[in-house]
Amino acid sequence: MWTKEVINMIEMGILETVYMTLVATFAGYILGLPMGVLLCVSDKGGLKPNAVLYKVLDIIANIVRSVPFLILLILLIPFTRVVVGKSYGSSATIVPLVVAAVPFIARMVESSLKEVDSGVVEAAKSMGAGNLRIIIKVLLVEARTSLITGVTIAIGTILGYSAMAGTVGGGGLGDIAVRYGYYRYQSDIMMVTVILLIVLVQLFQSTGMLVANKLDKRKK
Amino acid sequence: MSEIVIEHVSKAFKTKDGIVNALNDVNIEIDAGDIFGIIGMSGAGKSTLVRCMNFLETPTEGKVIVQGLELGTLSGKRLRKQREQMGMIFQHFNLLMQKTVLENVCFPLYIKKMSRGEARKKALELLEIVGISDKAKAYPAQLSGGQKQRVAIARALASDPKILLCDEATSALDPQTTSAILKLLKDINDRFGITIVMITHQMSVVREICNKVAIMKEGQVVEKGCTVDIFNHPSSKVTRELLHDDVETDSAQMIARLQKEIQGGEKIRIVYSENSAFEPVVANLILQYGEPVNILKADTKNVGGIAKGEMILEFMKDSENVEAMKNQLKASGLEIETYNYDADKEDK
Repeated sequence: MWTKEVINMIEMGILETVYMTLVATFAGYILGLPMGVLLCVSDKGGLKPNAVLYKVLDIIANIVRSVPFLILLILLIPFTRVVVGKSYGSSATIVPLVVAAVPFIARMVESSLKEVDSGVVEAAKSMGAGNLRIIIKVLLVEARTSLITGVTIAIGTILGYSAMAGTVGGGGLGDIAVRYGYYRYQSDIMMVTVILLIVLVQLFQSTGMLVANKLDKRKK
Repeated sequence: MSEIVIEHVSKAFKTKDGIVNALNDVNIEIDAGDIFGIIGMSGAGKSTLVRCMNFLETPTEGKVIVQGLELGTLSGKRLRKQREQMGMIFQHFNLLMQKTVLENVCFPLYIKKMSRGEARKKALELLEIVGISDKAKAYPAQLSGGQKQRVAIARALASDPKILLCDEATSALDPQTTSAILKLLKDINDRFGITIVMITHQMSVVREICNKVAIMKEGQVVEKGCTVDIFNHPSSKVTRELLHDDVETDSAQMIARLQKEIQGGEKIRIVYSENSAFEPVVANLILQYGEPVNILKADTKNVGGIAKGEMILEFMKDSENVEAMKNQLKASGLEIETYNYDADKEDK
């Protein structure tokens, strides 16, 4: 049963999964990073507290995060069709992945930035630094390690979501696992895809932690 | 015109338990070139006061006038510009932990839009001044507390400020390091004529470098003036308490200095308890032998509920009666031992 077709299919699955995960994470950060920064800055005790802005972002983040991903995936089908032109396949899956990832990423960015010692921010203010400079040169730099750890966690979660999209023909390893393992009872193929998913998560996790530690100057 | 004028400044914080008045009608004038100490127990409002001086905290009432400019009237941009005139250092140094020492010092220079090359050159000069240029490439985590504070001082001086605000700058440091940092600050004050505001709870800090001092309690200034006057004639209870705490560390150093200066005869330390304190031992000694005995230090401490007295006596340089006098002291039931400050210090 390990025909050339099956092996080809699994290879494609790996590529699709990596593609969906990385593109969705990247796009997620393009939107989620600014959202996280705004959440941190506008909160009470932030650089520029703004109760209304904070509340709006807070509610958006909570709404999206409280919808289970599979439901979100289905809810977003019309929207995905508008954006990508179809509702199945790996490119189409990226759309709901990003939508789900943005609030999640924003929350992680927010909490990373809030970990930065307020004394350092105060010192920057005392030197005459403006808010934008403090965000870019102090908050994002000092929180670097925590932010990278966040990226690692985000990749793991998004990879998991992408596999879940397999139930509705989302492409990638998850899709293979559902089609062969669930519909055709070929559990050997399913096991292989699951193992591959585990390996992928491990790889991303180790690389992320390695980079985070390498860039952390707080010890030694 | 004073460099910093605080006029009727009050600051109230809203907390869960209601409004807390951190500052209450504070008035202070600080002249250019002063090293001005602001001292008080924790919670006295001194840190809030120093933050009002560069508007990190906005006073609820009153005016803060720095170099003739009323900070409350300035726009955000203008205020940030003014802050470049006022360096600030902190108890916990507040360095950028992910940046090298050199980049930390460059930070305020980049704010002033200085080019990278120029900034690095200037930062190295500053690190030279604070005596830590060999650590330029190190990260703050690799430095000791004293070294971190030196970096923070270099960073605070980078924008050529006229004023340096120090918020408990030596409170996280051990006594030796504290002395070294204070010496550096004094040196900076002398060399560059920078006005220094020292927030502290340690009287020893005020005594060592401040020429003027304000004593705060519960958000109010209870006493202010020249350090010497306040030390000689403390008029408030808080001041006396703060002075009292200071005596301990003070006397040992003073005796060391005296010892060097007078080069007298043998010194002994006597310890007496409550009972022997009734007898005028030293006076009797002087009367009997007809020669002066110098009292370098006298102190009474409460040791486990018993009053224990300690005195350091010095005999005349060429006295022939030293042994006889020592014996008499022993006979009166006192414990005596030869006192040598240097040895004493090494023990610690």
